[in-house]
Amino acid sequence: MPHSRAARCRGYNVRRFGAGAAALAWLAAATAADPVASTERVADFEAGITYDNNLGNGHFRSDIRGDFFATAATSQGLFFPLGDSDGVTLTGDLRAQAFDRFDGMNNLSLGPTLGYRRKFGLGSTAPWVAVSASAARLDFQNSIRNGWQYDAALRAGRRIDQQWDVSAEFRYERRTADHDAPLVPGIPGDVFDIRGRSLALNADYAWTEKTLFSLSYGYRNGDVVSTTRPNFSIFRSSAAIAADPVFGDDAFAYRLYAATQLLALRASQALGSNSSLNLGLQRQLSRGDGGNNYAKNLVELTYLHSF
Amino acid sequence: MDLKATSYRRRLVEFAWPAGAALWLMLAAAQAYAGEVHARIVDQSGNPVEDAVVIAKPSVAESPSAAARAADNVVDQIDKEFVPYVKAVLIGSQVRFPNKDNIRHHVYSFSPPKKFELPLYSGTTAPPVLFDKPGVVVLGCNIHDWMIGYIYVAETQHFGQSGKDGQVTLKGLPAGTYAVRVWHPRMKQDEQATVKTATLAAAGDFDAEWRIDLNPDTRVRRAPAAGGGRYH
Repeated sequence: MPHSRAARCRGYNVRRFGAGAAALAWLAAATAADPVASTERVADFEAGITYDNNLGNGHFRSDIRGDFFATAATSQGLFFPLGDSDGVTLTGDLRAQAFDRFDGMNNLSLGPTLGYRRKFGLGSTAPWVAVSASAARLDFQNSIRNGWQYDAALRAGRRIDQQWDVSAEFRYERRTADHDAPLVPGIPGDVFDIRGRSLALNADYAWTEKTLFSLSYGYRNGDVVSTTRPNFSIFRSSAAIAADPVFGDDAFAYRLYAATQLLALRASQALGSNSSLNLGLQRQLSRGDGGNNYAKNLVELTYLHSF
Repeated sequence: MDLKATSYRRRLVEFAWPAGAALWLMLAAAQAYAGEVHARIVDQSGNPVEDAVVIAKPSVAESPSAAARAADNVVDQIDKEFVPYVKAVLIGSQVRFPNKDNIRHHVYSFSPPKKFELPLYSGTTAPPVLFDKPGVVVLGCNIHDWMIGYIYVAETQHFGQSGKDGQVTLKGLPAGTYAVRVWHPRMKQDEQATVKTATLAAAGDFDAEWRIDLNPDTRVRRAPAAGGGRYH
């Protein structure tokens, strides 16, 4: 009775997300009403639309499929100043994505983030470091992508002057997959059980008080998931394989090891002091084991609001 | 003769003291004449400039009035901003920094006329700060980097601040000669390059317009921005 099991899982996930969302709503209401003494409320909202021209990270032209998706997200929590130059932030983060064509990719994620930030000195140009850790439950319409996402990040930065602001980030990511049934004997089926390390450099330039341009470069080493039609060369390089009905009955998701470079350019226009409209362009190039390379471009239009 | 001379002196005294009193009153009135400086500040495009400080420095040194010395100077922190954005005060003034947010702020300044720090506090617990040197003091908050404010410490009591219409009127100026100048946080030119000489006679005010070049407003942005690349 696999269908019944899937339905039970789905019901379980819905209940779990319902409880998580309720907890987040309670946190938002509690912190909005009266933050705990000497704490500061954190309430961020995001809504946007993105076009990804290679959603499945396909190598061959026939495997490359693009799609639009809408994103809505919120982070609710508290900032606790510990001293004159450091503090801890604890938030609950809820994110939903809905895809235009590949609705099996529709997903919800929910989980907490704990961060610590320290400035070395007084003033806006004082250098700073920050560490953060997050965990999130991932629930997709197509269940092979369900699992947990864990991130740990170390960031450091410094505002050079009122116009230039630079930062660097090292991130370790770990994703576990609920789905681990092997499709091919001897080859694991937990395609979305992945880990990776990345380093990113970011520079912001304030054109005016309202207009900000950002340029980011990132390099990542780790697992990626590429969905293709059956392909022997990719099959040989894969660490895990699973059927991926999101992209068709004959599509398979392969876990590969790859080095990825990312270049992102963003423009951000402030709409008042608490919100902004952001346009982002991203180019990603991945070189995978066995010559399985792919490229993807993303265009994002995002509205952000922070209290 | 003596009697006549005595009578003459008496009449002279009787006449002279009210005449002297009248003369003293006239002189005092002339000294107390409240002249006005009407200033209008526009930018390079002719748009009115808000928050410009206009200072009229008299050519003759004068003591500030008791009222000017007793002014209650306050820079609030409201909704994570300094209010007002620019505050002009007389040298020797104390300024209070009440925090009207329900969170804590950490106010500081690195500016040479006054370096100070008010570590994390809430409410009205921070002690007032004495500004005893003339010049510009830039305020910041170490928790909220976008918070910026300015205190202009004037060496004279004759100063004012332009409103949204770019206009400011300095009232109650005794007759005399003044060096009138303008300062603004984003002004490109040196403050001393804006000096205009104003002579306030017993009758008549001084009207003038200043056209100043403003730098772009590049203060640290408060609005959120999408940041960091995401790996999908």
